[in-house]
Amino acid sequence: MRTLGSLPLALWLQAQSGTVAEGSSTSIVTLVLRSSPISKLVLLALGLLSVISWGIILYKLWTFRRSERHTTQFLDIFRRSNKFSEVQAVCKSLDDSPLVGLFQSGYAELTAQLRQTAPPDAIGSNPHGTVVRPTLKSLAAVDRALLRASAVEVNKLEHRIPFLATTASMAPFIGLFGTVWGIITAFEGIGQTGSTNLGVVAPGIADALVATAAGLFAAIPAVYFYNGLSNRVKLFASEMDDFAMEFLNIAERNFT
Amino acid sequence: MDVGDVLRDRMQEPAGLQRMIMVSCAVHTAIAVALLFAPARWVSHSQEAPRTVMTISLGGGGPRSGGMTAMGDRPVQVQTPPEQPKPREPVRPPAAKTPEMTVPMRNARPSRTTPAPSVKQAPQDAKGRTPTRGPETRAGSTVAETGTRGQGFGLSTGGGPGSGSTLDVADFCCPDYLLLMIESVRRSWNQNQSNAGQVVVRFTIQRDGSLTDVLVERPTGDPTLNIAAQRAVVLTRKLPPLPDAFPNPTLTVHLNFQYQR
Repeated sequence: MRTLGSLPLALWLQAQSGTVAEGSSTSIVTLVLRSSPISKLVLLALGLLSVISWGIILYKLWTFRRSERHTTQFLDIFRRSNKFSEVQAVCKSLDDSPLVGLFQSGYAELTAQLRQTAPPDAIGSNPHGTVVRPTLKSLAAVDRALLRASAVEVNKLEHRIPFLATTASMAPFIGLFGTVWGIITAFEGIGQTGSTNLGVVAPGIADALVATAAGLFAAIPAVYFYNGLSNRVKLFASEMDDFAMEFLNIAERNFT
Repeated sequence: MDVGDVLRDRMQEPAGLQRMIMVSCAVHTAIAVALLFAPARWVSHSQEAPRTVMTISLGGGGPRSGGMTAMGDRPVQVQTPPEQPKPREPVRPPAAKTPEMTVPMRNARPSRTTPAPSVKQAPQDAKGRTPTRGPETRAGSTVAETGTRGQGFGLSTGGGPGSGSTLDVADFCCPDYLLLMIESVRRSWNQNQSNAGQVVVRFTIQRDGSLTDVLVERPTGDPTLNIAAQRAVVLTRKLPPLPDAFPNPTLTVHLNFQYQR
């Protein structure tokens, strides 16, 4: 995938540099190269923040999409099948859905309780010959198991999303720090030359402002995707609550 | 399998974070490289030659301009020569006194004088200004430079009251060219419409005189007026090349079409 992507890019860049780029004199790159070491450090930090936050964004988008796909498939199977054991068999292949976690823990609790209350030989040695329905000892325990699983799943979904919030609130400040530092050095330069000519003042300030621009560049996608992703986590959580209710209803109907 | 075992299994995150960070790193590097090689005009502002924009009004000329004079709305004047001061008359000695002892005539009538009418209002001309001698504005047929600036080119359809326009012809190098342009636009303009209205059409004259980017900038409610105005510019098609005295490569004109019923 990466080779396919990078080849046209390289060709395109070659074409660009061959035709137009000779005339470039004041670009962003020269501004960056001209700036002080502190500004470079700030830019490096912001670049790192941006890289990591975009990595998290892509990762979360990817996993969430898989989760949603698996969830719809799982719900489809869950509602069509009559036996929990059938659903349990499918769970391995739909591992990314958070509902699978809920179902597995609920099912584990259910089987553990049923094994205790109705040992296998008791069913066969019934004097009346009727099939004794296995009963649950405590529905509240199943509910608790579902709650535990739900907490685990939400934690897993939310994991690493706070980094985006940190980036969103921190990156503008880092950029601002770089800008302020650059302006301090620019004013020192003005003091040394003793001239307030705009030609002396402006380039230093332009250098300094690149840091703010980089900070905003890192922060804006982080804000956007933080809100979007946490909203999706909320949706997943409500979906899980809904599923837990459904599971409890089925358990109550069949095993009490 | 216990609930705890299930939960422990489920706690593991799906793999792929490192791969996504690698992808993100690659994309960032690509953007940085693209910035490195991008031509400067992508990131900084372009430095094109300034484009001249002017607004000209068609229809509704100024008062008494009668249309197509380069002087536009300047008042038409004749220069009257200043009046020569009257030559001083020599001071005459007073007439000799009549003898005191004259005999009055018995039948002489007393002379009657009519008193002058009392002045209630100052004459119009004398209000608040000192009467002057010298050049004075009067209606006439001669054109004189008075220094007033023209307000567009009057091309009146019906001689009705014209609205203002924003062309400052005095600053433009070649008013003759504009006249030519307006005359050719007017020739292809169908002024006889059922409604009154005002349409501003914007277009650009290229160096070679071709008209491009024709656009109704401020339409009126009646679409036929808009179309007629746009047609007028489009049908003009080609003008003589821009004059050499005009420095810029293009001339953008906002032409104001005023329809009067």
